[in-house]
Amino acid sequence: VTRQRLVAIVPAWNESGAIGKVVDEIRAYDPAIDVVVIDDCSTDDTAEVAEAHGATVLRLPFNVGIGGAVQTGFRYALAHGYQVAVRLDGDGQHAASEIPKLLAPLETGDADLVIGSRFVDPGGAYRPPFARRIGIGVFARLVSILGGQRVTDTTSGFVAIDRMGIELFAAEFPHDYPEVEATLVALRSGLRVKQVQVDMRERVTGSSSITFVRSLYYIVKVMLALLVASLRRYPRLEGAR
Amino acid sequence: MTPVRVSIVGAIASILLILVVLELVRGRRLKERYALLWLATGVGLQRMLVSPRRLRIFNIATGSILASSVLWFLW
Repeated sequence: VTRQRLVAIVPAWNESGAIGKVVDEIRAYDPAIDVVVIDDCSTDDTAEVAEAHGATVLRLPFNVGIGGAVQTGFRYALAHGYQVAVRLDGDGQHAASEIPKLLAPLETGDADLVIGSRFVDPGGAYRPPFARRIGIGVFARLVSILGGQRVTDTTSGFVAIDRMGIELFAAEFPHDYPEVEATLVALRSGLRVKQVQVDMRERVTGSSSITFVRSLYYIVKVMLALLVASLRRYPRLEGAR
Repeated sequence: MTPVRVSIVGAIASILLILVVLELVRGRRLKERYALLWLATGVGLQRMLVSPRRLRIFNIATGSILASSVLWFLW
């Protein structure tokens, strides 16, 4: 059996302080992984730093937001024939050492999309602040109901997908705050979704894009997106396997 | 007091607004981000029709005399 080609998709916007370490860590974990950093039109030297650390850098000419950056990565994976893609954030919160856990269900053929969840194991280390915990819980419940499968962490940006998932997300990926809706789209398209427990680290530099004011927009926008996504029809993808 | 017929027309119009906006988002012609403002307008109109008292408070607050002009202004 030939080894499946594996790409790590890393969206980054003004992460010059963290991106070098992120790239190093992935390459140290497995030199066979191709690391692709999507630089979402940073104003700092994120692209140069990533390149210096050996990543392939896709430079977006405009700031398109996280959804567009991640989708660019999936399109790259599709065009270059990768069988498996891991997506992790450019701020260093996702540990490369957790990647094997995400890949395991793909390698055994048990899943098409594996979500690194912070809440599979009730004793997990991550305890979000109260408001955030409620929000994450509401999203998880909504996606579980609408998607017909229980999921615990729909806001995680640490996922691995197979070729079918790459094809789906290359064609169809939400615009901003994409993770929750993308999970529902995957479920409704018939991807087999699995969750594995991961721990995430506190960010090293920079700040979360989710400020207090934006969180309101985030919640309402995602609610609307979920409602609309459940009104849309998605082709079932099982036949592709 | 808003005449009944005005209420009915307003109710139909604002429900239509909400449905059209949802359909535009579903067909990817309108992004969620912009749809939210239109939906807020539609819901706001609905609520004023259901409770004219709310409309009157709005009238006093904005100094407008004709209730219908407020509705059109919102639209």
